[in-house]
Amino acid sequence: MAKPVQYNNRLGMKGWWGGRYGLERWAYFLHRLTGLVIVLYLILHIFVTSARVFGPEAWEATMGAVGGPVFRFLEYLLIAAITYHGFNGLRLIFIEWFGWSLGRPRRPIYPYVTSLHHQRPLLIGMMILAFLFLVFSAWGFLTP
Amino acid sequence: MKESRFWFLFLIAGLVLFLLLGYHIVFIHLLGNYEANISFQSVASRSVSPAYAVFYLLFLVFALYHGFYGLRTILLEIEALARHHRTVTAILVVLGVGLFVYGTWALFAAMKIGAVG
Repeated sequence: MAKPVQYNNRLGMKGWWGGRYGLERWAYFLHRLTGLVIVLYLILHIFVTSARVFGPEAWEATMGAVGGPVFRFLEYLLIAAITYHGFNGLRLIFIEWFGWSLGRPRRPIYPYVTSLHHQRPLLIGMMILAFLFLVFSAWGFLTP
Repeated sequence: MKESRFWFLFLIAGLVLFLLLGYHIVFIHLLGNYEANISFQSVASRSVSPAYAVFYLLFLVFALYHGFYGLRTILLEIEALARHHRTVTAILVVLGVGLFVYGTWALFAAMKIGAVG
């Protein structure tokens, strides 16, 4: 008898990319990547904003250090990451907590219908909302 | 408390953050004059407001919990770290609580300084 193929299914972070992944898998990958970026920013943000405790000079100096067009662009990227993470996270809460868009259980009769057939419209809808919010934020960023 | 309870709190924190962070981004970064919003005068006026103090405290608690629980989920999927899950959790709890204490100290210290500035 042929030896069964052994797959390493505990890849950790290495399992985030590679392979033939569908749209939802990319959504998962982006969700984790943006999550990591946001949590690192949160730690930085706590220290940067607490500069106000040390008076106006310290505050202005800190704001000067993280100002300028480069930081402004990075800030926009951060808003993009938060927007994506927020709208995709809302979708995950709808599915995992409220059980929305999972579809009714049915017998596996051809043509097969997976829960993805129900979930994908929710993903696309959320991404449209996220895109609209990003267009709105770009307008907010470009106008002083 | 069971792991699933902590996970459920993580979902609740996520939902609350959607609202708090949405408010924060729209009103500080997008609407109005951003330069004016981050001037010391404007920051100080928010720092002395009790309503903003409650807002920032809730923001701090939910963001740190959601962020560090999410970070823990990612770290514990790495097999080498999963073997030491108690240590990983303990380090993240200490870091999270440390940041909470620092953030809360800054919040209350700024309430006094903000009144001067």
